[in-house]
Amino acid sequence: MNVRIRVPRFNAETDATPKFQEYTVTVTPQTTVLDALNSIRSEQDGTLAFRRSCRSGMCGSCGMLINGRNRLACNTRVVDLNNHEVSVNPLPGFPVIRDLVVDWDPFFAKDAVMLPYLVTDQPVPAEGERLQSRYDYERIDNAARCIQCGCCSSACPVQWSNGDYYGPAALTRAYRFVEDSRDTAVRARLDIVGTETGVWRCHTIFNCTSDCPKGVLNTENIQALKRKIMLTRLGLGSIAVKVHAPELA
Amino acid sequence: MIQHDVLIVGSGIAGMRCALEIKRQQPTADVALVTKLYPTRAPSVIEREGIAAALGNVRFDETGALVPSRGDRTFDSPAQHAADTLKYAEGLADPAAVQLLCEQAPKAVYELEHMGTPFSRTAEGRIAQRAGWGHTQPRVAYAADRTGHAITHTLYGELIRFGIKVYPEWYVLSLAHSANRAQGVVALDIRSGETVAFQAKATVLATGSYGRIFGRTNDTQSSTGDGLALAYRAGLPLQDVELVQFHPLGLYSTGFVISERILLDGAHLLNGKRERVLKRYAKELELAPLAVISAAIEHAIAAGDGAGEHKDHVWLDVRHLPANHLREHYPHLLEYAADYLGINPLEQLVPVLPTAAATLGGIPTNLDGAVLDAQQQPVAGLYAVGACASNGVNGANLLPGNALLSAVVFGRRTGAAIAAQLKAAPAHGDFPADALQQALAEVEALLHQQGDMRAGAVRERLLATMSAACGPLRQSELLTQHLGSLHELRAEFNRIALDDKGHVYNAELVEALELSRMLDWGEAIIAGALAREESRGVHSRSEYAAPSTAQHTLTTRQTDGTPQVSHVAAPDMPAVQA
Repeated sequence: MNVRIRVPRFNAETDATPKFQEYTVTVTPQTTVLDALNSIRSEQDGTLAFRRSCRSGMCGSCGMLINGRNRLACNTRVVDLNNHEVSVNPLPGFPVIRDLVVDWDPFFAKDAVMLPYLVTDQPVPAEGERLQSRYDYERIDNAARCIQCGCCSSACPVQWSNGDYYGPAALTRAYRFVEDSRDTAVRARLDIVGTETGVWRCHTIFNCTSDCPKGVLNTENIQALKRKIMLTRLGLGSIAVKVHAPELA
Repeated sequence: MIQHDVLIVGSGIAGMRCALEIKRQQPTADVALVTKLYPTRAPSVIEREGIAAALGNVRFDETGALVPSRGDRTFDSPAQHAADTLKYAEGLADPAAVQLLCEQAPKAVYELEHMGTPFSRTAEGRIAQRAGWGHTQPRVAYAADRTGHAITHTLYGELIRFGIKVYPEWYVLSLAHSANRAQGVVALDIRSGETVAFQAKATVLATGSYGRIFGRTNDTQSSTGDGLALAYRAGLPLQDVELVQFHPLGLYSTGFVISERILLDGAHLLNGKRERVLKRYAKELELAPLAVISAAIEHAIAAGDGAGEHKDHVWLDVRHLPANHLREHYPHLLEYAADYLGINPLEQLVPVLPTAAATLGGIPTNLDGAVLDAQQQPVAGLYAVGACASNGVNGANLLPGNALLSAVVFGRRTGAAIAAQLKAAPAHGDFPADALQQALAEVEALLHQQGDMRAGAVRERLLATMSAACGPLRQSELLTQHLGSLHELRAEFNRIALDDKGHVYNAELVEALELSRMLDWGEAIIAGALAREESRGVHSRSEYAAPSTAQHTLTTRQTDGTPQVSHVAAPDMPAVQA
């Protein structure tokens, strides 16, 4: 089967607007969008720029807007798009460097603000691991699946209008540590996400949850952070607010 | 020129763990990582199975079921872990290296936990462990089925905590060395197209595995052995690079590995006639060694017993296993089958065939990670860690969970050795004057090369050649023939012309640079396979059924570009204790 793949061609150094180009690619039932892009670059047009690495939905390199939804090119099969025409665009809301290659610097800079590492005032045990109950592990299991592919932040209309908004990926990262029973910097992180560019910008549109290729409950996590901030302000901060992933409930 | 005390090439688990240890021991050290990806995108994230360590959190009871052991080490110990590893390595591992690996394992895993790695938990709240193929006790610690991802993201957080500088999306072109000392690297900024010299007192290669040179592989598109190329082109030897582990359960169309644990759980392999594939090849059926299963599948397909329209694969049958068990323990199988084949393994057969799963050779190092030259002497200022290094722990086969473990243990140990060196280290040396010019010349020449071939076509042929020559079953005739094909491909590379002559994010250029390097060290794999006249572990030669003397192959690039293989005796195995 032949499909037409439509891609914007753009170089930030020389172009003001993208020009669209169409390629015809022969696909099998197994061909993924990434396979199709790879075949364009190696067989038709070496100038097409896009990122890829693991092919298996774990590295987060190939997040793109494919037929109107943010997804990973590597685990999206062309046949599943149910269409002879496939449009592939760079992640919306990200500055474009070239073709499908976006600038990740602002995205990773926001992640770094969240203190994306364990902070604790408890001493390291002399022998063995810190204990954590299965219940407590499951509180972070869903958020820890994030692969930083940017599909969520890029799907967020607030992010489109306000580039300073931390966005769902960074806020989920904060949530992952806030909910970690081993971490004691809850207040510090709530102070970070409770600012003007943090959780209160979220309008609960749920695009970030619906476009996450790993099933991370981004909007729910942001809501949980909001509740935690309010409970802390009311002096009820020790109440655990947990997002129940459907498969865990 | 950019200057740092230590420059680490690669940002996977080994590279990040090494950087972190240097910073922990020597907080004033100026450490930087340079990577062609971003740290959270490193190929380490695809490592699903886990990290092996004798923590003793669970054990097998008399019936073989997992029961809590609560950290009691009477049932498992680092010595037992080492014994399993040595047995599996079939005489080619260095017992001292393996002993070090297994003794350091519990501490290394606990440290990862203390950093916040979200490990799965036992009912007692300890790090969860499960059975692993070839392990006598359940000692593979895991974080769901994304252990590599969990550790990578944790270590990335540590980079941020320590403020360690990362240069993302830089492709390292060459090693700079002068006065018998590594002086840093020259690298291409993929984003701007600029070529820049990086000077360092210590240079660490942490570029991961090299499985991308095979057509069907579990490895990522980035696992192109760039570190091997850096060493090989600098005249340093590569060790045992012909040793590549093939996994029988590679998903048709992508080559992704489905965990071999599913065979222990009772999955069947069926041929085109829906008969058990292994009935004719192994009395243990699906519990035979993985190399035997891989070979049996290849034989069955060659004999015309393959399944499907092209009779080019076999079936993995899990339909008789409990659905809940599969959902809980093999989410990757269900996900892969749905995403890449559109099938449901609970009701349908899954097409599989052997795939390159792990590369066992690499740049020879000592146990402090110092790279060894052809005379087995350390090269001053040059280190290698993780899957690109060959320090004696792998031998001729690799136990599940030991790859992540050696990345962490030797990343840490090498970091400590570098930190100690830095305390005594003088100022930066003399960066070779022509290094930058030479690297720049390579890039410009490639950009402006005229020709009638596409880089993509040459790459496809290289991958096909490597798969044909160095698959699970190897023959002298084919190896010799394909050594010749590789010569032809090198000549064809000189006829390629790039479409993209630009400098900003020229991905075609980077892929062509990777290809030119794979064409170099790919030859070392075939030459090594040809020189290894035996069948041992993952290496199976049709003419030689049994293992010969235990020795490593060391392959160096001669001045005319051809590989030369020499042999080094493997360290003796300790006497088996009664």
